[in-house]
Amino acid sequence: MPWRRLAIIAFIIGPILALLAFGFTRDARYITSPLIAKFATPFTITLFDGRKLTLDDLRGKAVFLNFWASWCPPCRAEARDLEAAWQKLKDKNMVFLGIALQDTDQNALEFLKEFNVTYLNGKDEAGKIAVDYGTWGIPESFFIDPQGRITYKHVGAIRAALVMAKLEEAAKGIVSAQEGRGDYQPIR
Amino acid sequence: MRTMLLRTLFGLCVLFALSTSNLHAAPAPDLEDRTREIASELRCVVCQNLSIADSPSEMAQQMRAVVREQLEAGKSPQEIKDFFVSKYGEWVLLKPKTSGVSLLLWVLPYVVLVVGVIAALWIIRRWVSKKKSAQAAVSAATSQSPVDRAWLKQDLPEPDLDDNSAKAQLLHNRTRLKNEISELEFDFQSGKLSDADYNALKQEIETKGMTLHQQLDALPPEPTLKAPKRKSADQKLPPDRNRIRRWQLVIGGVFLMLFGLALGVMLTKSVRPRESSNDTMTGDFLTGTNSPSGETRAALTEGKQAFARQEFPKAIEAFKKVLATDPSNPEAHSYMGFILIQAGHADGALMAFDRALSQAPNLPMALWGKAMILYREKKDFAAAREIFENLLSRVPPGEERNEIAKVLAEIPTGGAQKSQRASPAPNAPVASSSAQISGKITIDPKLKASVDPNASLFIIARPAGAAAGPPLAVKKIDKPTFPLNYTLGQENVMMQGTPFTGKINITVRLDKDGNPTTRGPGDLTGDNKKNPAEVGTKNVDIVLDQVTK
Amino acid sequence: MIAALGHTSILLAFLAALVGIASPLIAARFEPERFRAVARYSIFGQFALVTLAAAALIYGLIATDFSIKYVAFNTTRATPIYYRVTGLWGALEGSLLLWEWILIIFAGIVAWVYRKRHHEMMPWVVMIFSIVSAFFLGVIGFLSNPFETVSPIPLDGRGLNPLLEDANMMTHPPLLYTGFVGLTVPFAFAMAALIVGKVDEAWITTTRRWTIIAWFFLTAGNLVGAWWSYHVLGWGGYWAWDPVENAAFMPWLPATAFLHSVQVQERRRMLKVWNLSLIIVAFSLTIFGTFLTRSGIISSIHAFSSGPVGGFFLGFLAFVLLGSFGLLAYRADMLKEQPELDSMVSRESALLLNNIVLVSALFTIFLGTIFPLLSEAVAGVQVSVGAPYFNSVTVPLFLFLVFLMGVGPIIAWRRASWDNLKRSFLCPAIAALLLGLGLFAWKIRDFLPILGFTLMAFVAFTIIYDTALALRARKRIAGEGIIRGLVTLTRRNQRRYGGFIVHLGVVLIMMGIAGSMSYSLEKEATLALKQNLQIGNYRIQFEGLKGSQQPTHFRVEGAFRVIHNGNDEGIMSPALKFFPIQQSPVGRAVHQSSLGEDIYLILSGFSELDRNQATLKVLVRPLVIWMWIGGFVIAFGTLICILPMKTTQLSDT
Repeated sequence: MPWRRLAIIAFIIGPILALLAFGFTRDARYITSPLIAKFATPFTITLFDGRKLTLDDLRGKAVFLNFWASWCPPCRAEARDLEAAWQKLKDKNMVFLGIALQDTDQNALEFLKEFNVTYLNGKDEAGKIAVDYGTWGIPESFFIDPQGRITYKHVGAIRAALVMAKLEEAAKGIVSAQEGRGDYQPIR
Repeated sequence: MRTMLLRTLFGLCVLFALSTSNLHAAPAPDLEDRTREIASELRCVVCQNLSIADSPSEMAQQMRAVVREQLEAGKSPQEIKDFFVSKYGEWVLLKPKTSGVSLLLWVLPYVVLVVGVIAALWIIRRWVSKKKSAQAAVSAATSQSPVDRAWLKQDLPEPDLDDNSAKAQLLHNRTRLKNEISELEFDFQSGKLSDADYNALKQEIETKGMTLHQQLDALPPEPTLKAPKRKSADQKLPPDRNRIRRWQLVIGGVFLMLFGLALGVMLTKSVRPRESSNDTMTGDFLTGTNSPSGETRAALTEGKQAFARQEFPKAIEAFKKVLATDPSNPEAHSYMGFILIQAGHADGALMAFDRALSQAPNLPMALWGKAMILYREKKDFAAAREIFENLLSRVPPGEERNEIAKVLAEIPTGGAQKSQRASPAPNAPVASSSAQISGKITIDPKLKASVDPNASLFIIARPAGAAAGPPLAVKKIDKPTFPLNYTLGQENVMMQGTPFTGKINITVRLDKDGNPTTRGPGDLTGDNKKNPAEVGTKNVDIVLDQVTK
Repeated sequence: MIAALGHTSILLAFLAALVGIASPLIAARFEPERFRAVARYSIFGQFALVTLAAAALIYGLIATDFSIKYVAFNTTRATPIYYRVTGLWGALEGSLLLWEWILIIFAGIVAWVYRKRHHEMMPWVVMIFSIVSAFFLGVIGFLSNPFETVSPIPLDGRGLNPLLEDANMMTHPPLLYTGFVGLTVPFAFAMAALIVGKVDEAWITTTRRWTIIAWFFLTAGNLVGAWWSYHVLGWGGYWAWDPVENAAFMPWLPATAFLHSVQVQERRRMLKVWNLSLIIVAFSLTIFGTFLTRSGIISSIHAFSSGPVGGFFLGFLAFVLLGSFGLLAYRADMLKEQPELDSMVSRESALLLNNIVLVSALFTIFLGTIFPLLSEAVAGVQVSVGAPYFNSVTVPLFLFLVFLMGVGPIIAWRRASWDNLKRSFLCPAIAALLLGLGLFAWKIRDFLPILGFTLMAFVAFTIIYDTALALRARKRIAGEGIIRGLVTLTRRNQRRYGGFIVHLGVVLIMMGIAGSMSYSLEKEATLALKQNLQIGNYRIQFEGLKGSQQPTHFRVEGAFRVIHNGNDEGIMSPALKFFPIQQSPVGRAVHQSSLGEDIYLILSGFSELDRNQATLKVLVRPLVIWMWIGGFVIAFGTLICILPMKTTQLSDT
C-alpha cells in the first residue's frame, strides 16, 4: 500500500473538503457590518408629520433606529412587537425612530396606520441614509447609545424582548460583541 | 532549447507587463464616465455578483447617486471606495484589496503558472536527457535494408484493440511508426522540412522500425489457436497479479461511502436555518420545496393534536419547539395566536397572527384569527370586515364559509367605531364639512343659579365604548352664554391626524377653575341623552343637569 | 397516481443501481458472462425506470396536475406548454431528475455500444455508472423528491420564475447538463481501467471520443448561457464570473487539457497518470459544480436554495475525490512508463505547456471562486471576488494560450529544428506583426488589445499558411484543386483539420471577447420626448412610451430611434416587464448586431407620472457577434473531428 502517496492525497483534498464544509456553517448572503462601535453617521430626516429631525437632536438618549418598508413581510411581522416595546419604554430616556426605505409615502403611512405605530417615523428620500448605515437587508435595526455610538445591529425581524434588552444595554453604553439575525429580506 | 527558454521568457515578460497595464482606453474626464468606472468596482448588495454600474436594482441606483455626489464634491476614487468599505466592509469591493489575505489571491495564480512552467520545462529537460542517454547506449548499428523500410509501410492486419498480448503491443507500435512516417513525408512534401531534417528524422523512425521488427521476430511462436468466439467467456478470469482483490475494493468503497454519508448527515444538521426566498434574482422560484424537517413536522402535528384536545400547555411546548427550528413557521404562529386568545392576551395574539401572515399572507387560519381579534377586542370593524371578506373569497363553499358569513353579518355596518389611532398622519383626509357634530347646550333651569360666569365650558367627545382614556376631541369655550350653539369638528381633535368620525359620546362640563382634568365640586356636567351620536348629525342638544359633588 | 408511479419508479431504479454496483464484485465467483449480462441489464432497467419517472413528471407538468407539489410550485394554468416542459429542470428536484435521466441515457448507450467489447472493463464501467446513478437516485428518492404530493390541492400553481420564461431555457440547461454528465463516461472508463489495470490503446480511443462529445456539449452549453445572459438578461454582458458560471466553466478546462495531452499519450505512451488525473479532476468538478449550485455556501444569482441535499453532495464529492485519487495512487506503480522526449522544442512540449496553462487557469478560477470562504475561514474577513479580478488575472493566461494555439498545431513532433520553425512560422509571424502595426496605425493603441489581436492573427495565419502549403503539395502530387484538396486533406487527417477549425472558432470567440471588453462604450441618461443621446457614431432619440397588458405581465416599452452615421436605422424598443409576483420589474433589452459592433439599449426606468420621460442606458459593444459565429465554427470543427469519414484507415481514428 503506497501510504505516502495516499497521505499526500488526503492532505491536499482534506483541507479543500473542510473548507467547503465550513461554508455550511455560515450564511453566504450575510454581510457583517463594520459599523458596530463606530459613531453613527449623522443625518437629517423629514418625519411624516412634517418636522425635520437630525440625529444630533437625539444625543443624550438611547436610540432605536429601524429601517423598514411596507412591502417587506418580516417588517410586518415585527411591527406590532416594536410598537409594544415602544409603549413600554416611552417614558424612559429612549427614542424609537423608524425610517422607511424604497417606499412611497402612501404605502408607508398605510403601514403605520395598520399597525398603530406611534413612534417617530420618516422616509429616506434618496437612499442616502441607507447607504450611510450599510443597509443591505430589510428590516435592519440599529441601537445607538447616548453618546452616538452604534452598540448593536440586528438584521431581520426583531422581537420586543430583544429590543428592550439591547436598548437597556445601549443606554449604559455596552457594545455588543456580535450582530443579531432574524428573518430578513434583501433590499430592492 | 534556447528558443524554448526565450519563448517562455517572452511569455513571462508579457505577464509582468500585463499585470501593470490598463485594460481599458484612457478614462474620459466626463462625470458620468468617472462614476461608472468607480461604480463598476463596487458590488451591488442586491443582485449578487453584479457591479452597481450593471445592476438594475433600486439600491444600486441609490449607491450610484452617492458616488456621483461624492465625485462632485471632489473626492478621489480611492476615498469613495474607502467610504463604501467603511460602511459595508471589504465585501463591497469587486476587486479584492491587495493586502492581507487577499494578497494570496493576487499572487498565487502567477506563482502557480510560473512554477508550473518551470517545473514542466525541467521535467522535459530530464526526459530529453534520458532519451539521449538511452540512445547513446543503443549502438548506431543501422543497417537498414529496403526490406525493413517496406515492412514498416505495409498494411498489416490490425490487432483487436482489446488484445493485450505482447504481439499486439508491438503491432500497435508499428502502426504508430507507420503513421509517423507518412506524416513526415507529407510535411516534407508541403515544404515544411528541409532535406536534412527529413532524412535525419526518417532515419530515426526507420531505426526504430527495425528494432521493432527484430522484437517481433524474437517473440515465441503463437500457441495453437483455440479461438472460441468469446475468448474469456467460459473460463474464470485468471487470478492476475495486476488485479485488485475484490475485498480490498469493497472495504475501501464501503469505508468511503460511510465517510461521505456521515459528512452529508452532519452537514445537513449543522446548517443554520437560512432565508430561502428572495435571496437571489432567480432564487425565489428555484428553491427546493422548502419543507421543514421531519422533526419539525412531527412537533407541529403534536401541537395541533394537543390544541384539538385543549391541552394548551402541551401545545405551547410543541409549537415552541417548532419555532425553535423554524422561527417563522406560519402555522405555529397561528396556533400560538389562538392559544393566546384563550389566555386573554389579545395583543399578543394579534402579534402572533401578524407574524404568521407576514410569511403566508393568505393563510386562512391566521386571517380568521386576526379578523376575530380586530372585531371582538379591538372593535376595528372596518378592518375586520375587510379581512373577513378576503377570507370569504378564499374559502370554498361549506361549513366554514357559512360560519364566516355569519360573523360577517354580525359586524355592525357603516363606519363603525375605531380604536384610538395614534399615528401622526398629516395626510389624513381633510375633514369634510359633514364631519362635525353640532347642537345646542342649555342649562337645566334648576341649576341656573349655580352657574359661575367665569367658568369655562368644555365639550368633550369620546368614542363610543371608550370609557376612559384621553378624549377624541375637546373644545373649550370661555365665558359661555347659554343657550350655546356649538360645533365640534375635525379641528378639535386632540391627537393631530385622528379622524373625527364614527359614534361619539359627548359630555359637557362647566368647569370652575378652567382646568379640564380636574373635576372640582360645583362643576356642572351634562351628557348627551342620545349618546352615542354619529358624527355628521346636527341638533345634538345637551343639557347641563348634574352637579359634581 | 402519477406521483406514486414516479416515486416508485425511482425507488425501483435505485434498487437496480444497487444491483449494478454489486454485479462485478460478485462476478468473479460465478460465470462472468452471466454477470456481465446482469450488469448490462441493470443499466437498461434503470434506464427504463428513470425514463418512466421522467415521463410521469413531464405528464404531470403538462397536465398541470397540482396534486404534485413540484408542479404546483413551478407552473400555473396560464403557463404555455413549452414552459411547462422546461419546468422539468426549472427547480431543484426536477433538475436532479434531468441529470439522472441524461446520465442513465449515456450509461445505456455505453452499455449497448460496448456490449461485445472491452469484456474485462465493462462490468466495472457499469459499476461506476451505477454508483453515480445510485447517488442521484438516492437523493431524488429520499431527500428531494419531485413527486411529493401536496394537499389540499391548490387551485392554481405558483408558476415559473419569469426570468426563466425564455426560449433559451429549452437549450441552455439540457446542453450544459449533457456536457457535465458526458464527463461521467470517460471517468467510468478511467476508473475501470485502473481497477482492471489496462491503461492503453483501447482505453485511449474510447475515452477520447466520449470526452470530445462531452466537451462539445460543455462548450455549447456555456456559449448558449453567455448568449442568454447577453440577449435577454439586459445588463449588456455575457459573462459575470458568477460562482455558478465558473463552476460550469471549470470542467471545460481539464477536458480541453485532456484532449490535447492524450495525443502525447497516443504517440509516446507517456503521461498516463497525468491523463487519468485530468479526467478525475474534470468529473469531480462537475460534481463540485452541482454541489456549489445546490448548497448555498457561496452566494450566486443562479443558486438553488439550500435544501438538505447540499451536505450529501459534499459527501459524494468527498467519496469521489478520495476514492478515485486513492485508486490512482494505489495503482500508479502499474502504470510506470519510460518517458522520453527528443527535444524541448517540439509539439510534445508545446502540448505540455498547453496543459500547464490550462491547469493554471483552472487553479486561478477555482481559487477565485472559493476565496470568499477561504478568507472568512482563515482571516474572518468577508471579501468578494468579482469580475474585475477574474478579468485581470485570466487575460494573461489566455493570451499565452492563444500563442500556444498558434505554435502547437504546426510545430513538428519529436524535434523541431530552427529551419523547420522558420519554414512554418516566419511568414505567418511577419504577417501577424504587419497586421498588428496596421491596427496600431489605425486606432488601437493599448498594449493588451494590440497584443491580443496580433496573437490571434498569428494563429489564424499559421493555420491558413499550413493549409496552403498542404494544398500546394496535394496539387503537386495529385493535381487536386482547392476544394478537392481540402476534402482529401480532411479525410486523411480528420483530427488535424477538425482541430484547425476548432482553433479558428476559439480565435473568433476571443476576438469577440477582446473587442467587447476593451472598447465598449456606455452611456446612461434620462431623456425627455424627442431628446437625443449621442454615443460613438450613434444618435438615439426618444420617441415615447407605450404600455400594454400581456398574458402574464404588464409591459412598458420605450421607443427609441437609432441613427447611425446619419442613417436612420429604425426604432428599437427596450421594455420593462412587470410581473404580479415580482417586486421589481424584469428588463428586456434589445440590441442590433452587425459584424463590427452591437448597439444595445436598456430601459432603466421611466417616470410614472410623466409619460414623456425615460431613463435609457446605451451600450456599444464591438465584435460581439463574432463570439456566436465562433461558436458555430467550433461546432462545425467538432463534427469534422468525430464524424466517421474514412474509407481507408490511414491514421488512428
